[in-house]
Amino acid sequence: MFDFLVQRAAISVVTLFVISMIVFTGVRMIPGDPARVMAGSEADEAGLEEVRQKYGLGDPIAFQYLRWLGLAVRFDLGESIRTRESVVKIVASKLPITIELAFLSLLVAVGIAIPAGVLAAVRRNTVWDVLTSGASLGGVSIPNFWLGIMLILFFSVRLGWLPASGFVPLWESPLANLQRMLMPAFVLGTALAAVLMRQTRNSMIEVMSADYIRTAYSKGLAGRVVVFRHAIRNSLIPVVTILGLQMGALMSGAVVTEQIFVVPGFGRLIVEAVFTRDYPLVQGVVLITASSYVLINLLVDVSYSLLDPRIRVRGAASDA
Amino acid sequence: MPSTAATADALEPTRALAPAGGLRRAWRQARRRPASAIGAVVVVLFVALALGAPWITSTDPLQTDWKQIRKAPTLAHPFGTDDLGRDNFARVIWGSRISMQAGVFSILLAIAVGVPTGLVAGFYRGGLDQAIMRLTDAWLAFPFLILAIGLVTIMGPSLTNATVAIGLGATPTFIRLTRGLVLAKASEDYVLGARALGAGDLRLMSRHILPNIVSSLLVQATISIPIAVIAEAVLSFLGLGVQPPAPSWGTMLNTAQQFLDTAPWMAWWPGLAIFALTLSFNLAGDGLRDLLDPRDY
Amino acid sequence: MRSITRWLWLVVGALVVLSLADVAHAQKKTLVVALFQDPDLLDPTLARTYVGRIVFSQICEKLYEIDENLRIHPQLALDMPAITDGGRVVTIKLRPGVKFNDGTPMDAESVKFSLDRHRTLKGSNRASELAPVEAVEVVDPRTVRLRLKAPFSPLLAQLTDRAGMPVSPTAVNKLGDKFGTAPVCVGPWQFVERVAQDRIVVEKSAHYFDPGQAKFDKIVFRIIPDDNVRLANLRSGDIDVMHMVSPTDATGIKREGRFELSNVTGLGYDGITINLRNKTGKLNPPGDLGTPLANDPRVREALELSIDREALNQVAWDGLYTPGCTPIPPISVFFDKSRKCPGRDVARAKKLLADAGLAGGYGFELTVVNNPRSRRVGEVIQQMAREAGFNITLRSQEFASALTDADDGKLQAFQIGWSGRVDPDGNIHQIQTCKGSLNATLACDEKIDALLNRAREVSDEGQRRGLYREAIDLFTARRNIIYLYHQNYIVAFPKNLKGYKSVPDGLIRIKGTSWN
Repeated sequence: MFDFLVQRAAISVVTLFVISMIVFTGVRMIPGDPARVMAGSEADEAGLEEVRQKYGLGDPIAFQYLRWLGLAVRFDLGESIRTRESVVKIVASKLPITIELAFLSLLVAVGIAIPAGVLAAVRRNTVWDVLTSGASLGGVSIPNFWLGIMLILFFSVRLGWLPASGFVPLWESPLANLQRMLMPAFVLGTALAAVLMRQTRNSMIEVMSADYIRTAYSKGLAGRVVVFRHAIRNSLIPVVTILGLQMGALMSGAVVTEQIFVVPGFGRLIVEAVFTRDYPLVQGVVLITASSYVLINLLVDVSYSLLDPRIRVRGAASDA
Repeated sequence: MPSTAATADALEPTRALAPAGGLRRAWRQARRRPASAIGAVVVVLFVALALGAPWITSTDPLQTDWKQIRKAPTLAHPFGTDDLGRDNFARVIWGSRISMQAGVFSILLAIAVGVPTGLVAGFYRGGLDQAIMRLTDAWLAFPFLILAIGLVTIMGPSLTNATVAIGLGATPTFIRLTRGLVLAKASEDYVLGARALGAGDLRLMSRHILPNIVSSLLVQATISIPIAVIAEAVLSFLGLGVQPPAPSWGTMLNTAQQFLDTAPWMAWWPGLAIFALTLSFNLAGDGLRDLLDPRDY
Repeated sequence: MRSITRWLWLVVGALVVLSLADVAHAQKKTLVVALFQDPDLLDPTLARTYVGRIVFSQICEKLYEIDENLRIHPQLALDMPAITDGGRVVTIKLRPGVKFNDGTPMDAESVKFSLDRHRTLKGSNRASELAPVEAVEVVDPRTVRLRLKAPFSPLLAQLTDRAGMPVSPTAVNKLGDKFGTAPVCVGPWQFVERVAQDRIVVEKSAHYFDPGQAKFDKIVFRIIPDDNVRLANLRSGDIDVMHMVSPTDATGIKREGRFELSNVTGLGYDGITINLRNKTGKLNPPGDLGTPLANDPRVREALELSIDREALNQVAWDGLYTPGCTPIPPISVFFDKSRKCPGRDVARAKKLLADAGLAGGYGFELTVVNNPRSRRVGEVIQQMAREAGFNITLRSQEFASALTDADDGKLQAFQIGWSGRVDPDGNIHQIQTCKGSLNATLACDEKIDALLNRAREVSDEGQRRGLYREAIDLFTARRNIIYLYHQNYIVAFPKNLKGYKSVPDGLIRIKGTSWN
């Protein structure tokens, strides 16, 4: 298993390098002179030249890339052009927010999807199955931003039950924080739940028809024990895979959901940064987002080996 | 408990080779899974809507009328009017063109780029494969939406650019999928046999492997297209897609946001349309999957 | 099945608890203001955004201030300045006993320090505003003297905005160009903290010379770009003061009757800026763009004639903004009350296009800022112009990159406004003079330059009014900018917030307001 993990880690590092290169060049392809953005609209040629010198914008791109990389590994991602704050500081202030939202969405998703998926699998072709399938399809098809707007309209404006938006840090007031995170987590969570539900149901069904389950039944074990002790654990692998992939999406901070609920997480940050041509910020945030995605997938691989001892020995076929 | 129906299905695959049998089987499947059938019908309906827009509604979706601003639905304007007095019904109908275009063409692009790349990677393996996989990993690590936003910002906002951006964002999925499928098929007997008979690489890839993975690709397409449709709506919502006054559902939702209280019908219909389109694609996709791969209930 | 039911009840219970519980929000003592945009640097020397000025209104006072009638009176200065030597020397006496919010005294030295910083710091966005100032001297600890290269009547108006904000030298020396991350000036409130794109918190200052005016212990500025969400927050009570209420929302709010609305015509203008000669960038020599729009004034006149300003205001803004055809706001004493804006005349527009050889129609690209309101205006213009034979293609672009493109000469026409300054010179000079730093159209007329330069030198109101009238006649005939309307500033707040004053600059001033 150790070899397997080392191999996965090495691959992850290579991936990270490729990502950093893509980000770096990608940002420079956005039209607009970065020197102009940094110097301001009132600057003249001399002012622009100064900025170019200061940030080394005139150097060959490979040079600029290496310099940036060198600083990045030392956790110095530069300063935001707009507010002169350190990119790392901005990210550090937003990261806990996005993590919390992702975590809550995950809770909602798992809380809905797994019981529903198991139920649908165990009670196949009954009304439960149809209901969950329907809900799952609906959840996948409904546009996020529409759902969010409708929720605000209903729960905040019409009923006044929940605050419309904003963010209160968890340590300041857990209750206020949760009040405000409930709707966005719900919106994100239901979208995720929809996907997870299908997967849980399908893999549960597949597992349930496996020989070792039939053996368990014929041994006389109660249905519930079979389901909970044997079936679920083994059906979780594909579910975990999807979770890993989706967590990446969550970490990018569902852009529009954050916009609508005014959650100051990564999604909003990056859209604003792109719109205001804040290059250092864009580079830094995308790099961190992509890196966290790679990291999460690495963790998913690790969890594979924990869930399925066969993989531990054989090595995951995750490249296939 | 595996049903007898499933066992019967397991015997079916051989019949699928005969086209007539396939059609009959499709009809049987349709009757057994009405939801998927409805989904397929709705998809066809939307395609018809998109193609036949000029004949379905004679109202000009771009025609403004200062005296009819934000009016509630009436006979003359079944979906009400928008903030410039334009007919929402016409706009939703014509909007289907944009959504279908963006949804379908972007995935076609993803397939056109992704499938050959995946084929090559899976077929030749070795260094080329590793390089392609690392690139794909990195590509996938970018949040899809961020990638699309970035690309459109570079290229400038327009329907074409949004379509291309979404297509490029969906490409790595197809690369991965194709590669995986090729890896599985390449070691199967009929391929090895063909190679033993002297078939060249290109022939092997196009004549033997490709036809056998088409069904899985098709299934993935039905999953990806609704995602692409929503992605176009989001891009338009952010102002990065279709330019005004073109009636994209996403742009309509964006505008409707300002009037949720005073003119909620502006938000219902485009939202409902997106929902209906994606739902039907998903339903149809499910049915298709069952049709082509009966093992997967 | 039972465990599932129990589960469900648990979830419902949790939801009920969450929704009932309310935060012990120190609501009465803290005022929450919602801004539509995140300010940039909170450094008066470097700042460029309009919303930044709203924050500055509470934490950075200035030498002079304006009132609801656009009259200038002293704030940190003791009285109006003494102007001598034909307008070339301006002597300002400072209010005694004033301290910066770090406790250090505000005296002539620190005011000189601040003015010099605004003039000379690299990257300063105030440099052009104070360009005519040659030197700043300390006369005595309470008096500064500004020596100007030439008489400059808008100077006083400049000192009512960021250029007139003294900053604490101690803080500047400590933070350098990071001053914007923790600014220290003179104000009833002082900066506490900022979370990017979320909030800016200021609290009551212990050093302000008139503490009775600050009735709130804390002010929190929440950044909520989305109109809908801002409104929802207002209705639910999560914010107290809502900035930038959109006209359609305003109509709804007024009908509800729960909130007070302040609607004041702003100092700026909105219109269509047409690129005349900017081919490769505004700092490069002008060139021929080769298009009828840029070269033929008849085409531009036709465009203006196809637009109905009143209808535009009605359709796009529910009639709540102010149609106009000059860059000077109606409230200004320099506003030409006798001028009538041209009405819509499609027939004449068509004839002009035909005369220009474009009877079959003419198309060009109009860039609009990427938000629903600007897009709507663009669509209305597009529709109106279509009837005269124009095929306008709209292109929506984000603000920052659009500005850069405009400067680079990449745009044909740009639907953009100017937030407006107290003195008309601030709305006109840098934009319409040949070498003006904000002149992205590179339109140039020596006669206009002469008029505008003279208008900055003389101080007689009547004289200035006449000069501006002449200049406006000239550049509205040239139509490098077609002025369409003045944006109104609409602010909503609870009915029990007393003392709110609507100043035409649209800034929210909390000083002097309190709960009933």
